[in-house]
Amino acid sequence: MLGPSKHLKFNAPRASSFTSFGFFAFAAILMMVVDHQMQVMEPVRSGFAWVADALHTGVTAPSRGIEEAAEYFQSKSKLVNENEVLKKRLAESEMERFRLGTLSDENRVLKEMLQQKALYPVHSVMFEVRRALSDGFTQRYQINGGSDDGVEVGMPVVTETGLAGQIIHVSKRSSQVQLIQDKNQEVPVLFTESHVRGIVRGTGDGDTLQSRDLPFSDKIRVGEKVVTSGLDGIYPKGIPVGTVTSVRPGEAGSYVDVSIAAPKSIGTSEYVLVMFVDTESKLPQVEEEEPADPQQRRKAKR
Amino acid sequence: MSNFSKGFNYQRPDKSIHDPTLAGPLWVYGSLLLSWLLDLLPSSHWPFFPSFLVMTLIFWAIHQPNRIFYWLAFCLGLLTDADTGAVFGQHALTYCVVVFCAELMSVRLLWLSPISQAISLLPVFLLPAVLKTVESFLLSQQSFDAAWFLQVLLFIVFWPLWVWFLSRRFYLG
Repeated sequence: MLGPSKHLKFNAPRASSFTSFGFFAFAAILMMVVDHQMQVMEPVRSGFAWVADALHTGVTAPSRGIEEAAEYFQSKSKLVNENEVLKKRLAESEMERFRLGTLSDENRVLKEMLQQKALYPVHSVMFEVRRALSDGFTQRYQINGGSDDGVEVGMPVVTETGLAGQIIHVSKRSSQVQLIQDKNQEVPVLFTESHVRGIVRGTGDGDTLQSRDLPFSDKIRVGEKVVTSGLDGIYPKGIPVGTVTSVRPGEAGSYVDVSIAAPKSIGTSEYVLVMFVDTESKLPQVEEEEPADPQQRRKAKR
Repeated sequence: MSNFSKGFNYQRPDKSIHDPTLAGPLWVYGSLLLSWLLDLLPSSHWPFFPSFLVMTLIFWAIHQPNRIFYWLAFCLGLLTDADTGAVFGQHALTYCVVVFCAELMSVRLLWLSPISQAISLLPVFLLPAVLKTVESFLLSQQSFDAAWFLQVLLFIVFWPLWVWFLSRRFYLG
C-alpha cells in the first residue's frame, strides 16, 4: 500500500485549494468574532443544532429502543414496590404542599401588609437532561425542551437540590444549560444568616463558587446557606445555591474571598425544572444600569 | 491504464480491495459521519482525547483529495460548534486548517507506512490544541488546559489503528 496508488489520478481537475481554504478560514474567523461580540448568530446556530440533534437521535434510536424494551420486561414486583414507595412519598409531599400553601398565603398577606412587591409564583416546566456537552471551555448540559416548548435564552434552571444554571442556547427541540459552576456564569445571591447581598461566580472546577468582592466588614460565617437574591430580575428570590465553606481575607486586604460549596446538581438528576420567567423585559434594564464595557461608559460621560 | 504498463505489473498482487484511493463516496462520506458521531461519545470530554473526525479528514485529504471539500469541513465544524455550544466557527476553522495542512503534505505521506505517517503528521495533530489555545486567549475565556497538548500522543497512537479501519471499507463501495 506504500506509495501513491496506481489508480490515483494526478491530472484530475481540482478546485483551487488555496482560494477555497482562504475563503472558508476567513469565514470561520469572521463568524467567531461576530458570535463572540453579539448574538446575531443564534438562528443559524439553532438550525445547525437541529441537524446535529436529528443525527444524534437517529443514531441512538436503537440503543434507546433496547433500553425501553428492557424496562418494559422489568419484574413486576419491583414496579409494585416502587409504586408503593412513590405513593407514600406522594402523600408526604401532598401534606408538605398543603402546609407550604398555607404558609405562602400567610406570607403573601404579610408582604402586602408591608407593601412589598409580592413574589409571584413562577410557571415552570420539567425537562429531561439528555447529555453533557463539552468544548473544553465550558460546563454545559443539553435538555430536551426547546423553542417549541417555549424555552428562551436566559431562563433559570433548577433541580430538586437548588439552582442548576441558566439556558444559554435554544434550538427547536433542545436547549443548552450553562451551569452556575461555569466560569462565565454569575449569580446574585443573599447570605441567609448575615443578610449580605453579593455576586458569586463559578470557578470552573465543578463544585465550588466564589465571591471576591465582599467587604471585610460583612460578617459572613462558614456553614451559612446561600440563596438567590432575586435582584437581577431573572433568578427568582430564594432558590438554594450552596453553603459557605471558607472565608479568607482577599489579596487586596479590604475584601474577603468567600468559597461556596455548590455540588453540580444537574449531572446526577435526570430531570430539571425550567422557570419561565420574563427574560425580555428585565435584561435591557440591567444593561442600562451598568454598561459592561468601560469604553461605553467613557463615551457616555463625554 | 494502458496495456503497456499492465505488462510490467502483472506479477504484483492486486490489493485494490484495501486501497483507500478506490473507496467509493458512500464509504468516504459515511466514515466522516461515523467519526463525527464518535466524537459525541463521553470520551470526548477528556481534554486529551483525540478527535476521530480530524483523523478521518486527514486520511481522506491524503488519499482522496477530490472528495474532501473545504465547505464540507466547514459545515462539519459548524455542526460540532452548534452541538457543543462552542464559539460559532471554532471547530470549522480547525477542520479547514487541518485539511489544508494535510493536503500540503499529502504527496509525501503517500510513501510512508501508517506509523511513519503518524510521526510525520505530528505538527498537524498539534493544530487543534494550538488553535484552541490561541482562541482561549483571544476570546478571553481564560481556561487554558495543558492536557490539550497530550492529545498529540494519543493521535499518534490512534492513527495507525484508524488507518487500518478506514482502509477496510467493509464492502461499502
